[in-house]
Amino acid sequence: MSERPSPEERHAAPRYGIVLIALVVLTAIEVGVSYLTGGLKIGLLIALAVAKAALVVMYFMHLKFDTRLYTLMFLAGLVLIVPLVIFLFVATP
Amino acid sequence: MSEEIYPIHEAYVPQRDNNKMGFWVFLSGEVILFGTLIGSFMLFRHRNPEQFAEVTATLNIPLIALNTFILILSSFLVVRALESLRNGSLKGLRLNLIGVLVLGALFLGGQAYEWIELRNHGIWLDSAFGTPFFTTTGIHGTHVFIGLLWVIFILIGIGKGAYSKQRFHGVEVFGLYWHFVDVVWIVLFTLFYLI
Repeated sequence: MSERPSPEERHAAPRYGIVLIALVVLTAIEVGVSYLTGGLKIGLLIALAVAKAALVVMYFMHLKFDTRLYTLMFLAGLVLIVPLVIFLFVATP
Repeated sequence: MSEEIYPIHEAYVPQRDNNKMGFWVFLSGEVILFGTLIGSFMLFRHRNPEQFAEVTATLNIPLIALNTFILILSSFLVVRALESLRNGSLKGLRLNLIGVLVLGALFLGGQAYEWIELRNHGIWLDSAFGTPFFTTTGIHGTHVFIGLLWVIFILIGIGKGAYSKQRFHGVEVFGLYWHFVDVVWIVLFTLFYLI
């Protein structure tokens, strides 16, 4: 029985250099935004952080190309943490 | 006869996927750990807004931004290390991992410098800001340190012939760990320093 190609072998290699440049540019934008004032600042900073984290997880950690099971496992942790933090805020005097 | 009793099972269950799956389970636990720490920081911040505003204004953002660039670049080198190994280049693997070692050490040096600066400003573990800040960044820094030890073990393993074009899974799993540490820092940088 011949071995199936791994997920890595079934897609073209991502352009990691472009991902690196995007991460550097987004970080520079973040630092610039941090000097702003007003309500928009927090929303922008969170959006930029989510975009950066997603780039690393999807491309560097290869989640975009791997089985969905890994994504589900990772998301499970993210989903579980929400009630934990809410409980932390509610239960702490 | 024996095949009727014990039929050949043709389902494709590659061992390497199980290894990765196990590591993703571990990372899911790490999400809970850091999520709780970050939640605690937010709680302290919510309860002590004046102290947090005062200390946050004194944080060395240029230094921490540089540290963030360093960690992102190290993540890129880890990707290059794995690519090199999968292309059969042990030299490329070694060089990229030495780069990761240098960048990781620089990151820890930057963090130590920041801690000393804060200490000199009178901010330490016994304050509402210091308790969650030093605990969380300290645990993250410990993860970076463990990652650097892991890199040293891989470098030793290269010399002993532990890795090849076909035997790349150890480096792949290390990559998952290092990138996760990078993701955590991306979140900490925004929530602890910029907001």
